[in-house]
Amino acid sequence: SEPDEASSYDPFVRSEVEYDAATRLQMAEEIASTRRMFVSPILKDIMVNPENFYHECQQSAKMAEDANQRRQMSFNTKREAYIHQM
Amino acid sequence: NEEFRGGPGVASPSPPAALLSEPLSRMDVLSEKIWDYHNKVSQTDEMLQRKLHLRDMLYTAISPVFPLSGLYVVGSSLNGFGNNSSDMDLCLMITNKDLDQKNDAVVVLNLILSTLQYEKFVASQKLILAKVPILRIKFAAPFDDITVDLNANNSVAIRNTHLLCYYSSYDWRVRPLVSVVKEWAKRKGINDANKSSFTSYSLVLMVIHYLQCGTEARVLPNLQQSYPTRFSNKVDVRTLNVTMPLEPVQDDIDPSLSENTTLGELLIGFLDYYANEFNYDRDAISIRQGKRVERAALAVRPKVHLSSEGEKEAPLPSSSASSSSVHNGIGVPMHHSLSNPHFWRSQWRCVCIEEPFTNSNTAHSIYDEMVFGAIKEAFREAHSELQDNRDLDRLLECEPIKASTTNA
Repeated sequence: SEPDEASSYDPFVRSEVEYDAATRLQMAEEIASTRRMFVSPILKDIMVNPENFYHECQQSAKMAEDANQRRQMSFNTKREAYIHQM
Repeated sequence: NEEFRGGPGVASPSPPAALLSEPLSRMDVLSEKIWDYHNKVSQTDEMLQRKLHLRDMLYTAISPVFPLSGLYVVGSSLNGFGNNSSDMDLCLMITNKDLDQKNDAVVVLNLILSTLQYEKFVASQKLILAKVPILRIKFAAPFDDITVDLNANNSVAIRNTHLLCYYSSYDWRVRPLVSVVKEWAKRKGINDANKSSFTSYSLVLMVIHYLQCGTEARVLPNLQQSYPTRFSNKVDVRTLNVTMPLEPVQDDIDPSLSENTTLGELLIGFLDYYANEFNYDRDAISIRQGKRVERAALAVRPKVHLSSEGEKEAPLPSSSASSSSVHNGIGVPMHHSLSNPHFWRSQWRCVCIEEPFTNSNTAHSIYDEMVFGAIKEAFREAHSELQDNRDLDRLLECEPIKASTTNA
């Protein structure tokens, strides 16, 4: 049975759609032409042969943990500094 | 006098002699107030997690159209200087080359706009055509309190986010100092680039500069000099990783000296430095060089190279960042400002703060002499106020400057 729309909504489910290079380029060209712009050769190359720029070093779990550690560290060094200043 | 203090006949007891001695008085009320204020307003872990969650949702929606792209969090959300109301700046990376911001970036952002319009978590979108075009995205609940500004391939933002992140956690006093300075500037009406005053980024650079060379004992080193390979503008932005600790190197910071200055003293010193010591006519702020430099030396050096990032033939050894990210002030395309020496000079007219990677002036928005005069006056007032009373609440209960071009 079809799940109802609300319960099936999950932003983390990756889109089923994976456009191929030709489709991606066509999408870009359509967007550009409706706005009197153009797909430059550089942009065309990026759309057709994408290079890996994934944010490997900025993954969310690592970033959240890192921010928390920095906060703890600043609390500790603040405490030590105040003892030192006494 | 006695009557005023304790009422007639009630003499106030003298504090114990020990409390009046220098060491204990260093643990002052002002420093505690600054620290408490910072902890009240700084970005919470919960807010950061919600922002990162939102970034991941956006990436899921964008990646079918831009497979293998990277969606990087930049600016205050990740540089350590964010407060809880901060919006989130994102940078979509698709190439190592300079992406033309006039045409190509606009096509990219339009393509994303049309993709996101089918996403239920996106409430509204607006394309803002500026020097670096921005897609401003607002969201449905529960993310309706966060606004995202997305740019296409403006990679210098990733570099300076990375650099500022290390400055923000180098010493525990840096972030509280910035929190208070930002709030003071906001209430004073001088933290608004649209009103021809400072951006938050400029204020952060001003604090870092002061801690690098405006205090008696240095608090911050010059990270770009101490770690040339880590903070070079040649490093591939994909490898920039703020979770990697800095290996200790020799620098001229004496922790035992530096630690003797309290947070309160640093705030008073900051206001003093920009009210009385810094010579705006002669000096420019350079984080990259870790010192004051002659503004003439910066202003005569137009960035004419338009080479791609990472290319080796950049004409100036100290500057190879993308030209696309260079702001010229009032939305005039880069080539106009370069071909027009008057325009170039006007960018450096009032306050000179060198961007650590592009060498442009981050304070270019201050071009109005009236506003500039009011800003200098605001620093002088704030300094004498805080020095006399050491009262943070009184400092923050200030009236906005009157010379603002839009309020006039």
